[in-house]
Amino acid sequence: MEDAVIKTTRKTLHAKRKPRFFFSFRRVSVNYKMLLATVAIATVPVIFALCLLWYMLGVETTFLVLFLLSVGSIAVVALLSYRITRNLSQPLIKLTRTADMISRGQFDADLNFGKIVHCWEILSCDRNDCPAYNNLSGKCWFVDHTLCTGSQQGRFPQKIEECLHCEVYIHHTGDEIVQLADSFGNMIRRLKQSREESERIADFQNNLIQSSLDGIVATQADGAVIVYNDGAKTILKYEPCEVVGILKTQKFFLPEIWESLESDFTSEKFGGAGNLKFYDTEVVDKDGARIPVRISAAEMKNYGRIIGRVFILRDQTERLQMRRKMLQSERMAAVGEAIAGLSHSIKNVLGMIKGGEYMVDSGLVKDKQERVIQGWNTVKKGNRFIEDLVFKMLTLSRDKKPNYEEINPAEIVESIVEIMSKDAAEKKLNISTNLDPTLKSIMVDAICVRECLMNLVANAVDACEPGKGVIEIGTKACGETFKIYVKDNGRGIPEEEQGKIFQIFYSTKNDKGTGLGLAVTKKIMQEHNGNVTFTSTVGEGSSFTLEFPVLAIDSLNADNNNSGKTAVTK
Amino acid sequence: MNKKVLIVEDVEEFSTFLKTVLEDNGYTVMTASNGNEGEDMLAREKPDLVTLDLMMPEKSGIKLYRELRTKPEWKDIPVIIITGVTQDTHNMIDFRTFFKGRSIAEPDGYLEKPIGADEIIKTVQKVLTEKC
Repeated sequence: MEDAVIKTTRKTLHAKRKPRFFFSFRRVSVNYKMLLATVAIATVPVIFALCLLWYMLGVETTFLVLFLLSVGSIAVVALLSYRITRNLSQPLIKLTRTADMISRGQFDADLNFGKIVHCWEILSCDRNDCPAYNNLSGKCWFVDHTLCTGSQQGRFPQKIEECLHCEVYIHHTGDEIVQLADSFGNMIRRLKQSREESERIADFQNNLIQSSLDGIVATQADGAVIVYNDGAKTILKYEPCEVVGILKTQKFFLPEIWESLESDFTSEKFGGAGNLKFYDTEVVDKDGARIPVRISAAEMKNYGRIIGRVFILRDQTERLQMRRKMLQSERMAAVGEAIAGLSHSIKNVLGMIKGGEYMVDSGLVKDKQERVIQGWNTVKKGNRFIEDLVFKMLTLSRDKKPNYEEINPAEIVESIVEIMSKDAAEKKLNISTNLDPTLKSIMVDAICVRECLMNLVANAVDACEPGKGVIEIGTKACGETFKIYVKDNGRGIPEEEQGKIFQIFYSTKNDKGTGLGLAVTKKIMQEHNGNVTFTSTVGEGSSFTLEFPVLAIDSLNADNNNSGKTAVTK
Repeated sequence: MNKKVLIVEDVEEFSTFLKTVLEDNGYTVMTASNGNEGEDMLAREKPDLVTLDLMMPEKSGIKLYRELRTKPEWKDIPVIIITGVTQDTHNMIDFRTFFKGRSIAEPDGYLEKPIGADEIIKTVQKVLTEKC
């Protein structure tokens, strides 16, 4: 609303003003001024010659009058010439001086040439929101976004077309020299502005770099450091004055680390050539201490030419400490869990043995032989359970290399079928085998693989319903790997339990299982550089697969020789 | 008249042991090897006492206990929990305090394996005299 009022006022103001015609010698072109000066100077001898002619022709007059007339005209001409040349040379002198000052870097020189004009006075303007209002530093036609026409005008030089007809402009402009000086002044003003702007940007960027908590180090193409922020100082302990322009980046790394970093820089491994993304390594600080850091680095390019590199360093000390602590507490938790699981298993077995004891004792007292046998079997079962538990715990705890031997997988499978046939017969289950005839010999630790398979088949037997269960044990050669699988049509593993089955002491079989079988199987498979996988659907059954890499016998012999074990040969 | 005890326990050897101990002391004993069987048994015969294992396949002891305590016809049957598991570390449950402060009542007795015959009888007698 207010804006609209001002707009109208401005328009009427302009409408009322009729363009005034006024002559100003300042605006006369230099050409004419020079011409005028030349004419004036040329006039002197002419007047002198005329006076002499006059005298010689004997026109009746006194010599004195003639002399005075000549001197007078010379003085007038001299004064005129002086005025003209002064008018020409004054701005030129000022321009020269200013140019000289600016060339010496003094940008605060006075840039006002010609007549000083105040647009707000000439136009009786009161718009103090206009950038030209009360602005003594520049001519209003050079000022961007002025409000002379009521609405905002564009930037210089686009808006100059509008200004050429403006009273203020007409009032100010002088000859070409003044115009040159004006343009020069504006040029300098622009230069000053853009210099201030770039200084401001540089300041901002410097602030940005300095305030980063990460260390930032930028180098030239030759590796010399040119940027080194406070974050880098915190990590590397060098003062900026010791580094910038003095040290090269490789000073911050051990030679072997620098070498691999250089080659990784050019490789595609860490975010492409010329980049390092999340590169975990170590730097060496001023005191020679090695500090773990995560580096992100990139090459800086200018028109395709590498002009340097920028490294962003993040101190990993605290993170690694945290991780170490976390691992330790995780390990403690795992130990606690293992102890709880173990004590649970032992308590169960003890409960069983204690029960057996009672049966034997009371059977003896009451002379019931059947009860004695039952009790004694329970005690024996308890013993076997403890043996099994100890064996599995040992398998899990020790770090063992497989004792490879060449064996026919059919041999292993058949031995398991034989062992399990009693349990299967008790539950009236059907165990079948499906052996790949092409797979005649494999290189494995036979005892361990037998243990794995035993665990899987025992689980399958437990999972099957009496009388309905079908279990299939099979082998399969698959190029670089071979597989041994156990498939059942038992109750399956619910989805929420599938993630836990390889955890130690996780058992759904209550006191029947140690809760270690699958954990042991996984460990053994890891030792073989193999894998244990499974698929399971509740109500339909499960299928567990042991996958082994096919190994060359020679390499294993070498391995076994090195580790002091007996080499197995064909 | 002999008191009827229902043993819900999946480990056969332990179940036989409990049965023998209780029968030697004049109780009538029924056995079930998991929660589902236990439930069937409860529906068929009304026992005077139930001993319950917690970790069992099919239906766990915890589920059965919840039912025992929520169904009006079974609410008053005393229950002794006999288990080797005091903690389920995988699910972060401590069974000794599991029922404390919950909406369902705590079990009448709680025994941890291994246990001797004397302890079983003492607890059974105590629970039965308290309840009757």
